[in-house]
Amino acid sequence: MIRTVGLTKKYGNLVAVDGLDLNIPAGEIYGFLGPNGAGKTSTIKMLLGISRPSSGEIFLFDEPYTPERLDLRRRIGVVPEKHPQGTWSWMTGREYLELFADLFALSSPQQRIGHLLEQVQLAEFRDKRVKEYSRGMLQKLSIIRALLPDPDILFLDEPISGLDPLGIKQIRDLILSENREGRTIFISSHLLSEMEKICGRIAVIFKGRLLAEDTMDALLARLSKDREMHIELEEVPDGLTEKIAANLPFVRESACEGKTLIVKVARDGDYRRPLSEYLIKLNLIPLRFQEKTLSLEEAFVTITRENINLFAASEDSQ
Amino acid sequence: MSDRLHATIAIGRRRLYESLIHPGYYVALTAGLAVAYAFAAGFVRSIDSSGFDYTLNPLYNFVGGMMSGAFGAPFVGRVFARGPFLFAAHISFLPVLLYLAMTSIYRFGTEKSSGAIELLCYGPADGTSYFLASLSKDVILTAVSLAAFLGFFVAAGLVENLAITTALLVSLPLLFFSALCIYAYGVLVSVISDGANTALALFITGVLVFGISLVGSQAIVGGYLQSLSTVAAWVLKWFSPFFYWSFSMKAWSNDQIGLLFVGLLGQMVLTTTVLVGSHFLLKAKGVRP
Repeated sequence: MIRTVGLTKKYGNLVAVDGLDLNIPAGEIYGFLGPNGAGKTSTIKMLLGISRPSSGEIFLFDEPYTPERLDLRRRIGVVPEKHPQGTWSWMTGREYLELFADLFALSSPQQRIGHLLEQVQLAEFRDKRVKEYSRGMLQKLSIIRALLPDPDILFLDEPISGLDPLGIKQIRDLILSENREGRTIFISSHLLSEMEKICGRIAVIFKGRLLAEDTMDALLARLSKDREMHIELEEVPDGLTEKIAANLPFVRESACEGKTLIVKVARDGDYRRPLSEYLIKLNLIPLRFQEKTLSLEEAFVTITRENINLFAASEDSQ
Repeated sequence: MSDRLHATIAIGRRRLYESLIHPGYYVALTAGLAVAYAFAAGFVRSIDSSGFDYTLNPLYNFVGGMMSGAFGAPFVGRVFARGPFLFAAHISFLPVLLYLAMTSIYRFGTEKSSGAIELLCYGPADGTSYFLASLSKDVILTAVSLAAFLGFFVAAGLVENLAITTALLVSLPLLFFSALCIYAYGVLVSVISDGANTALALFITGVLVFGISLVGSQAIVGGYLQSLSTVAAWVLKWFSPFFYWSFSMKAWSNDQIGLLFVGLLGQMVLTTTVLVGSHFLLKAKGVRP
C-alpha cells in the first residue's frame, strides 16, 4: 500500500531523512514515532506529495508516486496536527466540508457530509461557524474532511493531542472503526500510551533513520530481556527472596515491595505455574499474579536515548 | 476538466463569495467612485468660454502639475482633454486595485504560514490552483469594478451632458490588463516571501521602484549615479506594468492604434511570464515557508 525505497531528504547539508525503507501493507494501523527533529514531518510531507524527495522512491498502491500525481492524492485523507485557524473560519462547518467535497468532486456531497457529521456527533453543530468550534470539534471536522473522499489511506498527525479524555476516546474509536472498514491508517503521535492502544505496527525513526519497525508485542519483547512478575501475597515471610534464589533457577532476580513479590524471569518461557506451585508449597497463597510489560513509552526511550547505537548495530547484524 | 482547473474553480468561488460578504471591497469601490465623482465634477469646472483648461480647477491643477513632471505637460494636457472621464477612470480605479492586490497578498502570506494552503493541497489542489483561484477572484472583481465605474460615468454623462469618449472605452481594457499584471506581481512576491508582511513590503517596494523608474531617475540623482540609474531604469521598464500602461496611453493619445495594441500585448506577455515564473518557483519552494 505504502512503500518507500531509500527515501532521503536533504536541506543543504542537513540530512533530515536518510534512506528510509518503509513497507506498510493495506489495512494496517501503523504508528510512526520519533523525537522532535527525527525526520517524521519531512517523511510525511514526502509521502503526501507536499515536498519532493532528494533521492529514493515512493510507491503508493504499487504505483510510483510524485507530487504531480493528484489522482493518487485523491485516495489519501490527511489530518494535519493543527487545523489552520482563522483562515476559513468565516464558514460554517457544513460550508467548510462542502468546499472540500467540491475539491474532491463528490457525486452526492450532502449525503456524505451528513453521514460523517452524524458519525462523530457533530451534526447539531453543522451550521455553527468554524471559528466557534472547540479543539475537539475542529479535530473531528478535520477527520471528516479527510474521510470525505472515502480514502484508502488515512494520515493522522497528532490526532489526539490537546483533546480531553472523552475527545480522545471518540477519536480513538473513530480511528479503529475506520480501520475495521479496511482503511490503512498511518499515525504520527507523541502520545505513546494511545499509540500502544491503537497501532498494530510501530516504526521508530531517529536522525532520519529507521531504528525499529515491528509489531507492538515483538518490539517490546525484543527490548526487554526479562519478564517481570508482580505477585501479591497475603504475607511476605522473611528470607523469601533468598529461598526463591536458591530453589528456582529460572528466577534471575527477586525483591519484595510490601506484600508484593517481584521476580524477574527469562523471557523464553511461561514460569507462572512453577512459581505458583513453589509459593503454595511454602503455604503462601498468590492473591494476584500480574506480568508487568514494558510500555511503548519505555521502549521508545530505550530505543531513542539509551540504545540507539546498540539497536542500530543489532538491526544491521540481522 | 483537469484537477487543477477544477480546484481553481472550487477555491475561486469561495474566495469570491468571501470578498462579496465582507465590507472591504465595497469600501474600496465607494472610495473609487467618490474620487471619480470629484474628478468628473472638476472637469465640468475646468471648462470656460475658451474650452477645457485644467488649471482652472484646483484638483486638476494639482494632479496635472504632478503628472507633468513625469510625463510632460503636453501629454497631460492631451490626456485631460481626451474627455471628462478618462483621467477620472484611471485615478478612481486605484483604491480598488490596491485593495484587491494587497488583500490577496496578505491572504496568501497568512494562509501559507498557517498551513491552510497545504491543507487545500491535500484536497487535492496544488499551489498553482490556489493562486489561480485568488487571481480569478481579483480578475472578476476588477471587471465588476470597471463596469461599475463605466456605469457611473454613463450616468454622470447623462446628468451633466458630458460625452463618453472612445478614449474612456479604450482605457478600460488597458486598466484591466495593467491590473492583471500587478496582481501577477502580487502572486510572485507572495510565492517568494515567507510571510504576509514581507510579501506586502516587497510589493510596495516593487510598486515604488517601478513608479520611480517610470517617472525618471534623473529627477532623483545626478552625475555618475544618474547614468547608472538611467541604465537601471531602462532595464527595469521592461518588467514594469506601468511602462506598458504608459506606452499604450501615449500611443492612444498620439492616435497610434498599432502601438496601443503592442503595449497591451507587452502587458499580457509580462503577466504570463510572471505567472509562469511564480508557478515554477512555487513548485520548487513548496506551499509552506
